[in-house]
Amino acid sequence: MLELLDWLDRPSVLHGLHLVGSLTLFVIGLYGLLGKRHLLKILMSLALMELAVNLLFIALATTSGETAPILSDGLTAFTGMADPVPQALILTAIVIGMAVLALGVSLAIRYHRLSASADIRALADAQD
Amino acid sequence: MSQRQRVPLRKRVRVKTLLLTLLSAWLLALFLTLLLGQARDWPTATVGDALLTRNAETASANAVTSVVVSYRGFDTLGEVTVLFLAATGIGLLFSAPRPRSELSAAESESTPAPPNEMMITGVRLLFPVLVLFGVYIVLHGHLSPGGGFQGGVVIATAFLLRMLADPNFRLDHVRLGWLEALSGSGFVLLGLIGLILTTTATFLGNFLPHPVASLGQLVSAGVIPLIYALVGVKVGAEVGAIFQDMREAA
Repeated sequence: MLELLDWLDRPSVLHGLHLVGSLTLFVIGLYGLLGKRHLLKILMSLALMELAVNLLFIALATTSGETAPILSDGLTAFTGMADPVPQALILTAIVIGMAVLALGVSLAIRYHRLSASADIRALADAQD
Repeated sequence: MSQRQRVPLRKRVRVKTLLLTLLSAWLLALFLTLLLGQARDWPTATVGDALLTRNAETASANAVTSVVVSYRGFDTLGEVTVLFLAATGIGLLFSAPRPRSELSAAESESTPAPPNEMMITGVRLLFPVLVLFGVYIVLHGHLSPGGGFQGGVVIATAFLLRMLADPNFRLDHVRLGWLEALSGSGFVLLGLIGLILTTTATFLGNFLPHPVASLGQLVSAGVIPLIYALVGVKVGAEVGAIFQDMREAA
């Protein structure tokens, strides 16, 4: 049992598991993006893909045994800590994703108001 | 059973869904083989490690904050600009006049139900706590997990709750615009002061005194908490404006 836990703690195994999980989420989002016709569902799939990438970045930035890159009571030096750069980048990516999602949803609402439909096929057919 | 057999195969299996599933599965397998090969010998020394060893010079206990505001501060400025553009776009979309036919229809169907007593009392209790919590998160960005983005969004959420509980509550767009403009130009101004002063001579350079001895105290890390507070005000005002636009449109 302990050997199994040690094996799971190895960086390559841990990163591999994170990779499988977040890529599965990403592909689910891709499927929704290509296969769904409702605009809100498409936007949701986009958000899901984005979250999968965020998850991947955060997961790969750390290995077992590393702490969050923040000094607190017990910690006095910046050693043995997770990489802060991906965390900082993902922090900004989350905010941008929120803003882009809000913009997309408001475009979808506006389109629904004008045409009383939320179907992307009708949007592709619209000429005027 | 007999009925099922009469339906031809191409109608029972939807070809498009099948093809999409196959495509997705193929992409998953491709990504996995590419990236799992990489994962076997993952790079051990990264830029982040170099920044971590240098991080004590910023006197910020939170290394993520010193990356966001100091080392990668220019990215943060661009990101705040993108947020501003998105908020402006949403305002533009919802400020366009509605077609007349739909206006009367919207008025007749969607008079929102008045908020119930639970909502009103709950928001009255929660609102000050949420605002205080947001301010705390913003001001302690250089000491603990948190910062301008997170705290700004918490504050904006407090105002969203107010909007839901009180139909007459309105965030003034002009005042929000002023807040946004002042905090945004304050950010750029602090960056430019860092550029002009000869002691730092870099954009967003930390020109205020930031002794390493004060690491972990509220007043430490020089210019970092100031910039993060400005970012917090800007993000809060922008997200609040988005909420207000969406509520007016509903």
